[in-house]
Amino acid sequence: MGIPESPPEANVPGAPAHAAATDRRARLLRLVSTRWSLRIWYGGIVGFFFFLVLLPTLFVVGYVLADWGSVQTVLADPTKSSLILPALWLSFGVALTVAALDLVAGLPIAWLIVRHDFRGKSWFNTLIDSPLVVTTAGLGFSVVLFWGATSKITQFPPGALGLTSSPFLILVFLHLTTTFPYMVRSLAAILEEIDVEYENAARAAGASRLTAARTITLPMFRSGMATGLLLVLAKALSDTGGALTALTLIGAVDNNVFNGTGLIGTWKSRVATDPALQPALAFVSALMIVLSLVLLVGVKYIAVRLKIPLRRVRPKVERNLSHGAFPRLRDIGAMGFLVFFILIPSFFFLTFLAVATPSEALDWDRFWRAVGVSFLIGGVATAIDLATGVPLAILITRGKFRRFGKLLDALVNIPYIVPSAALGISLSLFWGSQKAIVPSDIALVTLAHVAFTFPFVVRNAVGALEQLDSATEETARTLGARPVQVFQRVLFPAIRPAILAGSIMAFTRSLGETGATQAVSTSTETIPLLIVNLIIKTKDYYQAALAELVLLFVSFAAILGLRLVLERRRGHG
Amino acid sequence: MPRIEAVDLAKRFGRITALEKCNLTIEDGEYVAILGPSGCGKTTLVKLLSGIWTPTEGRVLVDGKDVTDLGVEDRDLGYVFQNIVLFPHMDVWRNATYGPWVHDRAPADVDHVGKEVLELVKMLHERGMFPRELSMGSQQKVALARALANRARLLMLDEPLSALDTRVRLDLRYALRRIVKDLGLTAVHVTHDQEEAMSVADRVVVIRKGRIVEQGPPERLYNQPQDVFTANFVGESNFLEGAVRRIRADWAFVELRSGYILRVPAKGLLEGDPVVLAARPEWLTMSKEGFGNVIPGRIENRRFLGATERLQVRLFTSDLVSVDVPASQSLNTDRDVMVAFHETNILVYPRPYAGLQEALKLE
Amino acid sequence: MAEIVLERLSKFFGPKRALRDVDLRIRDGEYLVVLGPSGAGKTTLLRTIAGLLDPDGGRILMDGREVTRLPPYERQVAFMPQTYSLFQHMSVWENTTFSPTVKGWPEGERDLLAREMLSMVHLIDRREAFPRELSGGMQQRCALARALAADAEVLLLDEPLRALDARLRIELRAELRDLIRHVGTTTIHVTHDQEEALVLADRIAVLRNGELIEVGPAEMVYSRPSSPFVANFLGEMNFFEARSFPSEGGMVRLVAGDTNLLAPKREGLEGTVLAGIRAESCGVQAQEWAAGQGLEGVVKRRLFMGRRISLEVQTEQVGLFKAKPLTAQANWVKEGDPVFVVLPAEHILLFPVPKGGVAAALEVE
Repeated sequence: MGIPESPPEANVPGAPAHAAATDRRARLLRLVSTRWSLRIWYGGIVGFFFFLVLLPTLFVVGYVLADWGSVQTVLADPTKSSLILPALWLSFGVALTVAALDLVAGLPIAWLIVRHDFRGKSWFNTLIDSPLVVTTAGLGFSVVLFWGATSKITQFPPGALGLTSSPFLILVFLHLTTTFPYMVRSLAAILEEIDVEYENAARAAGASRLTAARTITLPMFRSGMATGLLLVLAKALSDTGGALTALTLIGAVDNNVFNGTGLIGTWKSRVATDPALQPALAFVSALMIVLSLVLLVGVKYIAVRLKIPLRRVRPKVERNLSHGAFPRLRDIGAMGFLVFFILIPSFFFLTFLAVATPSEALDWDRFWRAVGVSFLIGGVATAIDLATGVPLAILITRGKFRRFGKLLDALVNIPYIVPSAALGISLSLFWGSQKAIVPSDIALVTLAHVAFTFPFVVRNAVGALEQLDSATEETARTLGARPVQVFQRVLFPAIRPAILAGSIMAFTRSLGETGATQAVSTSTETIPLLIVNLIIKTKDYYQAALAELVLLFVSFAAILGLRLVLERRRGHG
Repeated sequence: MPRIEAVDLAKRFGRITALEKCNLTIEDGEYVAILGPSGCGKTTLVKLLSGIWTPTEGRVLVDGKDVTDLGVEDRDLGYVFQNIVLFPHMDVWRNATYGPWVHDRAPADVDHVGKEVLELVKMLHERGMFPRELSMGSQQKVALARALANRARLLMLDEPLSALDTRVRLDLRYALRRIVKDLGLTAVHVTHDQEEAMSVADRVVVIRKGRIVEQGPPERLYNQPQDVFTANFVGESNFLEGAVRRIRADWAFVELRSGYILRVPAKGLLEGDPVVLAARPEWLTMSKEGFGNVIPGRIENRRFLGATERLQVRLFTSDLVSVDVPASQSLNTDRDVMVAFHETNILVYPRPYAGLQEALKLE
Repeated sequence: MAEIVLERLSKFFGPKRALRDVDLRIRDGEYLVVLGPSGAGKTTLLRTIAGLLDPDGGRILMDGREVTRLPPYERQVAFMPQTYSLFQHMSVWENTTFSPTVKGWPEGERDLLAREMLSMVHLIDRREAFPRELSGGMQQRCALARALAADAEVLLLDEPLRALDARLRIELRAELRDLIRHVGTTTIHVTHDQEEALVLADRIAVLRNGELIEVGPAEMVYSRPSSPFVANFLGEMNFFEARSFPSEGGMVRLVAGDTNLLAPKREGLEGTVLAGIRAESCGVQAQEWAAGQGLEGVVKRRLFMGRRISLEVQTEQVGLFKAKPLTAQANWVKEGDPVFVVLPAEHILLFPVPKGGVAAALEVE
């Protein structure tokens, strides 16, 4: 056969020359590959998910039901109960409005990115993502500065519109900036997956571009649209820092007008002095959690059942809309929306720096300490996400029990749609009620951050794994690779870009989080918390803006760097 | 009645040229096959002709009218895709009647056309089923119905049978040609399968690396290919390299390696020309005589092909040739034989500039 | 190199029976082609042997060793799927050395084996390239090198030529066969293409609806198939019913309509039989020069296919008849011509008349 004599038998590797080290490694490999060690490993991961992520998230609901008496006391008190319903209305109303607006404006932009090629496209991409580098509190400040009419700010830069002081409108403007990039990314991702040949087939049969898009592409979009909507709703509902900042600056807080998370945040900051607020906090959190779960189910259900009216085609009308002025107007409109409602309001605080006079110097020690805390929490949380999320994703997609996998997949959505402030409350109650283990403040905050960043990694990993042809892994197995080797050499390299993307999303999400941090521990000062405190507590607007500016550079650098790494990695297939 | 022309048509993607200046005319009522290996530009050509892609250079004319700037939705044609692309969220009926529906035809019209085209492809019974419930062959039939539903006179088929099993492919081939001819359509059919091209088409256009190599009726392309690539790509050929030693009247004497000589038609040849001779396996026979246009050799290999056997003979010129013989006339290996080349069945080509291997490469 | 034995192998997918009691013995060093239509269970069979699927019944033995429940990496098999599944993020070299690497081979031996395999498939100078830079044929060869470098006892090829262009397929299949024969590994090659099977196989195993209906050397399965289905699957057949009467010299006399034909006798078959002959075994002559036995008719359809011409002839005796003579012999035939279709006696096959009718017996799905 022409092959050197004594090729090693499959189960026993190595010639005598490599004995010790290779032998040990091989034995370890075999040990790790046995059915039992794999079962223990996966069992541990699932256990982690259930007991450290899911249970704490939902704990508060049980707590409220158990302690109904205290809740009734709260409801009896009008100073507290009268705030609850309007707050919930505000939160959910704003979220749904923003989602609708994002969809309408985001669709043409996503189309542009995916189906068209133009010079400067990568810059355009970065531009769309840019609001993500500003903390929500900073966005709150910036949006109020641009759109708002308020006496709380004494120096308005030129160009400020000062249009409104309606809490609803201000929150809508705010959340357009916090959620738009997510919507565009989701839509673009789905659009990329839909083969352009379907549109070609429709057009070859005589459909104008508009008709083809409306009758063929859009219906195929549906399940993906649900994901985009959920992402946006989750983000809008979760935001605390931005809402608190905006509502405070616009004077709404003085009038006792809150949204859901703002209410939680405000009450949490007062609970030390007014312990009666505790059950009230729990109640609002539980309510928000339940309502957002209902929303989760509702969106998924509607997205599948909703029949977009397809009945009649008006070829002449639709053809005209497909050519000439209309598409151009549509694109200009979308661009205009992007610039006017997203980009300008996001970065308007920079003009404030230009015109306002600095009051006091920024406490740099405090600043960099906050940066350190944020990066530490973010880094550790992301690391934990990776270590537990990737195996969970493998279990979901490649596990033997498909139904269990689907259940897990659905459950992973929960910590993600649930408003993070409510999640924080639930978590602190959970650990508070435990006498055995009492984690330190910062550990608690990290755990909270793990809970709502976890889904990002799992989502992305699941997506990548589902796209991977299982034939590749099977071939590897027949070529002699054991499960660990299959993961290490075949699976992981293939899904690495997706995991990287998921990690970036998880990290930046953690960096920008206010509500959960504050809900768990008011003493741990992360960057967003610092900015919120600067704006609300000490009214040091200039310092806040300055801090935001420095953060801008840091985040921009991080995102750009990671994007470059991603792009280069993709080059290697 | 559509006559479609490509005038200096070219397409580039960045630095890659998918199609070089292409000139092609397809007459009204003709069934033309565009044949070539993967990546040769044939799909590019049909996408340009139909308006799905816009050319980098050149024009497309239909019945003399310049339609280059018209999008595919404004051209009157039917298109069948390689990946079938039936609309997954619509059943067979809605897929087939999509064309008339987007033209907002009266419901009675739509109904009539739908029944007609589905009956033509024998899928009317399955009208309520969804694409994912059908076999690939059935799906492609529905896709064909969809392409015919607008009653367009021009039909573009982009590798319509490539995704199907052999048996299904054979059945659909005949159905395609029959339907096209019965309806009097002009058809452009892209494929990499030369047998498919020859059995469906009136004319075959061979494309390689973005250029048209040769075109003509299938039988001419098979029996008298003008280009050495065609001789290899359409059917199989044995190739022998040599040089023209002498010319006598209508015959040229070509000297091969080791001094063996073959007599070939002298058309256009000059003494000293380096040439490549080609002969298809079924044109060669085993001869009992030792003289005439024969070259001795030894049988190295036998392959069973069913009704025939393929003998691989190592000629004493060191070339390895395949000879197809009826199974009953097969011989054993390691036997010395005389391989007969029939003068009228030898193709002669100038030796390719870049070398024979390069000129014959299939990829 | 190993002998593989399959004993009553069965596999269910829910209610569907993908494999039914498959009994097969594959000899050491043999090139076995498993032939059958789509959905017949060929890929399931291959994957079960590879260890990617657990059978629901039966055993698999390799060289006497039972491997039925062993995971793939403990069997000595190399599996090559239809789409090759090359590791996209690894170079040709890394793909090829994958198996010896994960098995813990010492570097020297590993590199030697990989170099040898890559040289055999003529990819040695593209070893730093990545799969997406390679053409279809090169990718196939890389997948083959990787499978061969696994130094397995059995090579399992799942439609290895399907992803290639038609013309390339013809060219590469000869190379494939020569390569594997040179290495000498026991090979199971799955395909739905009968021409491929005939050219490559030592033995052909025909699978239909999960059942192994025939196994034998290629020539035997072609010339003496046991059932109309196998006969038809290995080359388009014409079938017609006839009454058979004994004749001499081991032949019988068939009567169909007013025609008499001689055919080789088949043991135990008498009375009304189903006679069949392959389209490609039929000759075609002008009616006035007709010699030998056959049928008269008019050409209804003529299709040029290159080496052969496909004809549909309307005959009085048996209806529509398909003939595929060599182009050299049938070039002159035009649609509408009256012809004589020659049916050489030695190529006529006889079968018992199938109970459900011929069409059902031939059904592929």
